[in-house]
Amino acid sequence: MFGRLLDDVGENLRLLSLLLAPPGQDLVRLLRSDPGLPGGGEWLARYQDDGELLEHMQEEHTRLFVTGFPRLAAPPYAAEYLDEEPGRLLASLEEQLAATGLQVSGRGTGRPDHLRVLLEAAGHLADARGRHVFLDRYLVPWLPVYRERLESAARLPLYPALVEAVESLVLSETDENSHERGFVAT
Amino acid sequence: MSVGLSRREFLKAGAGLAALSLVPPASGRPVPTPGQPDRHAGRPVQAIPSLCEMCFWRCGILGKRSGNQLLGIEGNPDHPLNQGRLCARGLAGSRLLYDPDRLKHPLIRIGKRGEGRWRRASWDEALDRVAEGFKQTLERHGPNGIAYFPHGASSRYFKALMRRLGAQRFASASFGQCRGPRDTGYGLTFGSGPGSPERLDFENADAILLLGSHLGENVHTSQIREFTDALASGARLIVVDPRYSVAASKAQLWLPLRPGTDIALLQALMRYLLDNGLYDRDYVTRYCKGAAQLKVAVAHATPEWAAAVTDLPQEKIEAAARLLSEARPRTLIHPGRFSAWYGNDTQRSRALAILTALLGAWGRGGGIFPAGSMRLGGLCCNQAQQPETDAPPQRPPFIHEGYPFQDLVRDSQGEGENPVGLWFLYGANLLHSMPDPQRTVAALKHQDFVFMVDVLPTEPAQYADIILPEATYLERYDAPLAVVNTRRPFVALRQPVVQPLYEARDPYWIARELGRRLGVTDCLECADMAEAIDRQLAVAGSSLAEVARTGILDGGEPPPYVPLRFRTPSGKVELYSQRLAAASLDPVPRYRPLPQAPAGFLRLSNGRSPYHSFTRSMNNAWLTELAPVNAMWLNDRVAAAMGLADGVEVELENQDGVRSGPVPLKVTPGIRPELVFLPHGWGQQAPALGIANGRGASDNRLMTRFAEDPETGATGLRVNFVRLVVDGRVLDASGPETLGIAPEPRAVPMPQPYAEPDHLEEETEAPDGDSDEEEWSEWIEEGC
Repeated sequence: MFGRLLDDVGENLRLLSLLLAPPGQDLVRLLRSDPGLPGGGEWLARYQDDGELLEHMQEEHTRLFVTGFPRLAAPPYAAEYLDEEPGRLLASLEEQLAATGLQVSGRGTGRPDHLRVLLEAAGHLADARGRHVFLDRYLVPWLPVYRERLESAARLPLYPALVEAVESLVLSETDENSHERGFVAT
Repeated sequence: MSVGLSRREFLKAGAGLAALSLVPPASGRPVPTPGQPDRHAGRPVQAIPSLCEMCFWRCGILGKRSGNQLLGIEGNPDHPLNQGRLCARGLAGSRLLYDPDRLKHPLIRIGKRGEGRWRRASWDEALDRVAEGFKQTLERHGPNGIAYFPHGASSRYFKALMRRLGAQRFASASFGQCRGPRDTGYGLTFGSGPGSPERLDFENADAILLLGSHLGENVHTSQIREFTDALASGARLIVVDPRYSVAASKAQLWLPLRPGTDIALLQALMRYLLDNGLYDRDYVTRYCKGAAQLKVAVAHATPEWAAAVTDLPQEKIEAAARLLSEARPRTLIHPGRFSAWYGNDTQRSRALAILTALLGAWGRGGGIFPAGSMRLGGLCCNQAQQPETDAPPQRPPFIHEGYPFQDLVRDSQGEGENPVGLWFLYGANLLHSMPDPQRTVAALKHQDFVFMVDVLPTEPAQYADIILPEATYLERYDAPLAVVNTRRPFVALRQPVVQPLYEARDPYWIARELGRRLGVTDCLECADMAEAIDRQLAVAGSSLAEVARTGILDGGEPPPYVPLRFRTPSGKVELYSQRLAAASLDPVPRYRPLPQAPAGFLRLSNGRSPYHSFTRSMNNAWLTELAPVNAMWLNDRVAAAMGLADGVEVELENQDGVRSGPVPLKVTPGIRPELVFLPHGWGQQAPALGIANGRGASDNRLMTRFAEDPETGATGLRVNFVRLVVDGRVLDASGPETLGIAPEPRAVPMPQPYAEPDHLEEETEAPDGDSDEEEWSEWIEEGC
């Protein structure tokens, strides 16, 4: 059970997207100082040295989200799970983002169907109904499979916990009966 | 221990890592926007003309995009080469662009070599590390300590930089494993190679000879179309191949010769033509030198003798010679492409070239037509400033440039006088294109520094220190290509269909940034690839903006068939090569029997699948659906004697105990009993490739031995032998003698001493001309 991340749903989505970004010193600092954060916890105590911790997190992030050795077991791209032609799905997504005044930035994630992009895009949608539709269309169908694959491939608890938090938040947001927005329920 | 941070502070501090932005598209040169108007989901769809790179043939494509997303790829109907047609690989290009296994960001190794531990890095950090690796190598070993393994058209940018550093130890599969012996053999004979694409006049050919060319399995779209059109128009086809290939199934005459006896057959064809006055006497008299020496060299090659050597019926050999002669000069002797077979490959290519000359089919309609000409500007690189380098190590006399791969491997393990300390792999999957991959791995592990630039994390990636992600052909420019090997020359342009995904960059940018870090400022000095292309096209009187609209710049009228010009020392077709004689090599092709298979073993042969381009397409989801695994061909009588049925899974074990597989068995009468055949490209052990890894069997893994072509240093790999392993049991194959096949005569008559070639003392200057010079003097990196 994770508690409230931040007060606002949009901020929560954007925070989770950022927590899934390539790790740096800031993430180490946050994990060390925030034991309630998804992905934090006792495992961090195994690392006395922040440099060693960061290197292991960077290796894990690279292996799970960039280039896997062995193989990218759980590609973080919606098109890999939604059984649609990547180009057409990406074009639709790009169009939706453009309608919101957004575009995939620089050379970071590369594709608009990347998990981080989808979370951040949803986080920018002010209208709850629109956010619900967006999440329902682009994230809900594949998050459970993705989480399972990621859990199997992960070596550190960090990313499975973060994706579990993502799944909880997204399902909670898209649950028609949910009255409490902004909480991560597990 | 670090100072704490709150969630909100983290969110605020992480703005720079946001996946989305509100800013306009990235600055820089915009992607061109020509094309047909169309709509996708309410947005315009643009068709960007560019060039395919799913193989090296460079068919014209139209990339259909909406925004920055590729919707699909079609053939460009206005492209002179493929005229709108694309093969399965070309159509599947979008799966490369969106392959989740693609290299996306620079990677730095953090574990031991081969351990597979990496972290994502910035371009600056990665390039700084690469530059440091070069500096240390230059300090320790000098330029000869750098080994560069290029592949593909854009390798020229890195090549320019390497040369500027004084490095010259390059080795490419396109030479040593593919066209090197062929182009050398034809170059020694005619003064130029047959070109790439080959300058084959299928349209006007009345007879076609394929010797080991697997057209139909080896799919080069325009050539296949021309080939099938020629057959439909009534051209007669002879296929020489120990395997009943797709092409053989279309032939009037299939000659399934004993493996490795090609030169004997070609000698017999030549002798038959000469003895019976069936050659083009006028052509030979006007254009050739050395006919008398050729007659001496093939005097022993009677059809009876060749029949015994090749295990072909004598009457079929004679029929083939007559068929070719009846059609001359409209006789298309296909020069082949993948020519490194047995270590006698330059000589076999010479024999094909000489046969072409006897039929008067070089430079004539229906044969091999002359190259056209289109001049483009050079690279932005001041090669005049090339530094003084150490004395280059010795190399074979007729290698075009660079060094034999095996020499670099030797020198990379501290065994040679010129130690190599740095390996740079650009798109080169050495573990599936070069001989003895186990030895290659040892060499990789022995290096001080290994770095690679590629689109996918191929098998050698495990041994790299730094991996840099290259933009795919759909995301980048390439140097404009002057296609002079079609009847009407043209320039073709590769341009980005979409902006690069992830952090992948084009090779010009990578080479330039690396150069800057190494203090090289007078090479690749153009700001970007677009500017470099603009400069090159300006020499042809055009510009990037103009060519980008259609992707093509027409080169005007084709060159005339006559007068024929030959860039040989004598200025004529050299049936007898004084250059070879001077190098103590056979001046006229001579047949020497190959070593035979050990008892119980079968010779391993390889070839192509029409759905794949070697290993390069093996991680493509669509193509894998079409051709998921390779099957091994085995003669039906041999299979029956071994108690094996079609479809049984087998492993292969070579003469050195190396295994590969399992693969299903294809039992067929369409292969000689001494041979097994395995399509190439499968069997990768590349853990980062989710689809390709561990699929099928690798022919290359089993090729631990090679026969070196003395003229070029190319490595013939069909000198390896395998046994089959079924359910863990190693099975011996029956020898061909037990199937009633007579053994090959091992004694070959020695040719009489050659008289001095006719008129050699009147050696003439090579005639002026601008058509063939580059091809013969500079090696162009293209696939096989």
